[in-house]
This record gives sequence, structure tokens and C-alpha cells, in this order.
Amino acid sequence: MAKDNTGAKDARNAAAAARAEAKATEQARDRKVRIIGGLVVLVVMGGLLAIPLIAGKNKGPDTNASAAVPTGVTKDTYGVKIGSAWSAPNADKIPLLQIWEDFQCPACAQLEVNSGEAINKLVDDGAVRLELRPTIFLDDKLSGQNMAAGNPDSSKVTTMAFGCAVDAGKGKDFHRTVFANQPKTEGDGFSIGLLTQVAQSTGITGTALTTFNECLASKKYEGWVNNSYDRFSKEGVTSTPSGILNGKELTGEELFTPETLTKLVLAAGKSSK
Amino acid sequence: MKRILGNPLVGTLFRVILAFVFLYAGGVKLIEDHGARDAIMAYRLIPPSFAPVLGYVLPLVEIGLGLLLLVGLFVKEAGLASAIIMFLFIIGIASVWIRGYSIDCGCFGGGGDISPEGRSARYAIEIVRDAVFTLMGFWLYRWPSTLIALEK
Repeated sequence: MAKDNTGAKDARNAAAAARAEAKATEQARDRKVRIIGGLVVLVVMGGLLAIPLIAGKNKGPDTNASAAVPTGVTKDTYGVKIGSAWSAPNADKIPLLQIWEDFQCPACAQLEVNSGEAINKLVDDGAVRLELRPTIFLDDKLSGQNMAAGNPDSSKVTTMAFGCAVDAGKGKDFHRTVFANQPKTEGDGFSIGLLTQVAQSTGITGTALTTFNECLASKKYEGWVNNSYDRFSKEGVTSTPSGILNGKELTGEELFTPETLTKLVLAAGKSSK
Repeated sequence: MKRILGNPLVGTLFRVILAFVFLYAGGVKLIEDHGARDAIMAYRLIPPSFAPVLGYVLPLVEIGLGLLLLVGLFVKEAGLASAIIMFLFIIGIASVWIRGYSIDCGCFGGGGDISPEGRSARYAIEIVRDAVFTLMGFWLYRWPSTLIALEK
């Protein structure tokens, strides 16, 4: 009996030892798998980190100070100045409204529908210095769709055309008409033919149209467009449309509600007098 | 039939779902040129100068987490990290919502819905979605033992 008992105890001890050993082996294996696996994941992440560095991505355009700018554009902002208020004797007392837009951005076209008329009235009344500041960040996001539609880099091309229209003295009309003709599907982009039509509809005809077409075909303002886009990144503007009144960013609600926008601009004009 | 809470089968499902969510989100951010940077700047929570750095790091962290979850390594740690990241996303969305910024206006290549109602609905859906992902992450932190995993 006693002997049998000892035997059973030994067997139990042996089994427990085997289990402990198995557990230790498993833990050792787990540790090995964790170390190797962790290293593999780190290497993969390192490899991915190198991709954008090698490809030079996320760099954005640099400012090229020698690039040509459209009529009236100055190199401090690269924005297009609209309205008679800019040449008023007390110009620096008149509120400055800067609007960042991408011609392919649907919300920007919507801004024209909502507040375009109110902004135009303020401009015509000489109550605001309007500065249109183009950006082309959607070219990156829509590159596939733009390519498929046969209109690559459509924001850039359209902004170059805008610059050519500014030279013809039709910047404001071109800006409005382009947005009114924005394709229904975001990403389809503007064809050269459509841009020429828009130019014609704003009254750019005859020799002026020839100049416009040459200006667009020669990419005269590509450098200017890149410079303006560079400012977009550097000034930390984050989305389009963005409205900045005397240096203070407006909320979407303020920008898209014409009555509120008008009131804010007029109030800014009063307080600075 | 085992109880639901802590069931390894459910944990495995959560692990794989989170893995693909992170791999997809990180992959998209990595491929888009300025995508992650612009998206991060759109939240206006961190200084603009810091956005490019985070734009690099965030997709990498997401892909790293995705890989770990996919193969089933460091499940407990990865689960906690997932829950924290998802919770930070919720804070980001909520703060943008409260501050009334319109960050979905063509900025993510998607819609152009700028009506306040459409925006609120969209933010609400995104917050609920990320809340579900946060819970999945906590589940894996609490019950890291799952099936078809490299570690036992």
C-alpha cells in the first residue's frame, strides 16, 4: 500500500514537473516570438517611414520669388486684390477680407451661392478690401479623378487661368463664373475648353482672348500659383473656404450667412475709423 | 457555449476588425500626399508647425498597431494603445464639432455637405464608430487571449 502510494505521488510530481516545464517552454517560445515579431514590425515601420522621405513627399512647393505675378498681385501675400477700396485714400482703414479657395472645392462654389452677392455688394460699395487667395490642395486629393477625366491638376490649371483673366481685368467675373460652372462631380475638373468659354463669357474676346489663351498655354502663372499654395501651408490655413477678416478667422456660420458676414464687415469698418 | 464576455472568438473578431481598420487608415494616410498633414491641421488642436511631424508618425503607428493585431502579438498592449488612439480621435471630432468648424468641405475629398444638420449627423456617426473601436481595444486589453494568434 505504502509503496503504491509513493508511486502515485511520484507520478503526480512528475506530471506537475512536466506541466511546469511545458509552460516554461511555451513562455520561452512566446518571448522569442514577441521579440522577433516586434522587431519585424519595427523594421516594416522604418521602411514605410523611408518611403515619403525618399520620394520627397510632404514637401510642398517652395516660394519662387522671381515667378511672374498677375496684374496687381504683390509678393507679400500673392493674393488677388478685388475692388476700388484698395486704391481709396483711406485704404488701410477699410476692412480686409481674405478668402482662401480651391476652384475644385464644392463648398467654395456653395460659398459663392450663399454669400457671393453680399460680398460683391460690399466690394462695389467700397466697404471692404477683398483679397482672393487661391490654393490648389485638392489637386493632390483628386489626382486620380482629375486624371481619369482628362483634366490633370485641374485646380492649378484653373488658378493659372484665373491669373490670366486678372491680367485682362476680368478677375472678379472670371472667379464668379468659374464657380458657377464647377462640375457637379467633385474631381471631374475644368477642361481648357470650359475655361476658355468662361473667359469669353466674362467679355475676354478678340486680341484679349488670344493673350488669355497664350498666357494659359504657356503656364505663365504656374510659379505664382505654387507661391500662393505655399502660403496656404505656411499660414496654417486648414480648409477651404476660409475667410479671414482683419486677421481674424471667421467661422463657417459667419462666412456662409450673408447677413452676418455683411454685419461683421461693416462693424469692422466702423471700429477702425 | 461559453459566456460572451472574454470569449476568445469575439476577441479574435475584434482583433481582426481593428487590425484592418488601422492598416486601412494608416495606408490611406501614407499614400495621400499631404493627406494626413492637412487632415490633422484641419482639427486645429495642435500647432500647425507640428502637424507635418504627426502626419508622418500617425500613419506609421497605425500600421504598426494594425500589423501587431493582425498577427496577434502584444495583443494586450496593442489593444490598450488602440483604445487610447481611438479615444483621442473622439476628442478631436468632438472639439471640432463644438467649435463649429467645417472640416468636411471637400477637405477629405469626400462630400461637400456644409449644412449644419448634415455636419452634426456626420460627426455623430464618426464618434459612435470610434467609440465602438475604443471598446474593442479595451476588450483586447482586458481579455488578450484570442485564437489564431502568434502568442499564446
